[in-house]
Amino acid sequence: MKIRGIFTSIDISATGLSAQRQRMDAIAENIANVNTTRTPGGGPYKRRISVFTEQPAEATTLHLQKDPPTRMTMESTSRGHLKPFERYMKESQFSGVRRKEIRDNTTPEYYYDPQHPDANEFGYVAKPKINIITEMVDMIAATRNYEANVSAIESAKQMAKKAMEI
Amino acid sequence: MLRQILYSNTNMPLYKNALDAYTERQRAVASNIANASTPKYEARRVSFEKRLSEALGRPNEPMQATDKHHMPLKTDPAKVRPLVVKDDPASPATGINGVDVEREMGRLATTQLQYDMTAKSARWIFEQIRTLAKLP
Repeated sequence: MKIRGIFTSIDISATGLSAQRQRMDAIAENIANVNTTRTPGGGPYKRRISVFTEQPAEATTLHLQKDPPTRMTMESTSRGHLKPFERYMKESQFSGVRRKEIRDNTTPEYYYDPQHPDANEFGYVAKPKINIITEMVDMIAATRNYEANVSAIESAKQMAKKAMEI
Repeated sequence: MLRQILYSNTNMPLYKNALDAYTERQRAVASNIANASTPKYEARRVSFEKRLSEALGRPNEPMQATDKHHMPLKTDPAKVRPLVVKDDPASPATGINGVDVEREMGRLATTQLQYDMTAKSARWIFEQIRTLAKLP
C-alpha cells in the first residue's frame, strides 16, 4: 500500500467536507436574509443555490496497474522493450466534489404591504424567494453529508494505522 | 532472501493484493460519499473478491497445460488485482445518482474490518519469520 493512497482518500473526503461546509454557509446566509429587501446591487436578496460537480482527483495520484499476463508468455529481452501488460500512468478513477453557486435570478415574490418603505407604487414589496422549510431540509442534508465524509476520513485513518502495525 | 521467502513460501502476495483492493475500495467509497449530491455521478465499485475466488477455485476444463508456452487455464491468484468499475447511471438509487449513502457506510465498515483482518494476517507472517529467526 502506498501512503499516498490513503492520503488520496482523505483528499477526496476533504473536498466533500469543504463542499458541504460551503453549502451550509450559503444556507445560513439564505435563512438570515429571508426578509432582506435591500441589497447593494438593488432589489431584494437573491437566494444562493448550491450545485455540485465532480472534480477528478489530483493528477499526482497516477499509479501503475499491472494486469495479470493471462493470455500468452512473452519475454522482454532488452531493457529498451516495452513492458507487456503494464499500463503506466493510469489516471486515478476517483473524483472529489466541487461546489458551484448559482444565484436565484427568477422574479422575486411580491407581498402586499403598502406601509413598507420599499413598497412599489402599487403597495407591493419584493421579497426574496426563500422557503425556510426547504432551507432547513437542505441544512439537514448538508449536515448528514458532512458527517458521512467525516466517517470516511475516520475509516481511512484507521486503515492507515492498521497498516503501520504490520 | 526475505523477499524470496515472503513471495514464494507465504500468502504475502495475496495479502498485498487484498490490502491494495481494500485501499482502492475505501477510496471508491470516499469518492461516492463526497459525490452523494452530485447529479449524474457514476458510483465507483471495486471488483476483487469474485475474481480472486475464481482464480483460487479449480478449473473445470478437462484441458491440461503441458508446456510452459500454453495458455494458462486460470489466472494465478497472486495476480488478481483490484479493478475499478463504474455503476450504471441508468438506475439511480436516490433520484440524484446511484449513490446510496447507507450502503456506502456499510461498505466502509466492511472494508475497514477486512483491511484490519488482512493486515493482522500479514503481521502474523512476519511474526512467524521473526520467531524462526530467533531460533538458536
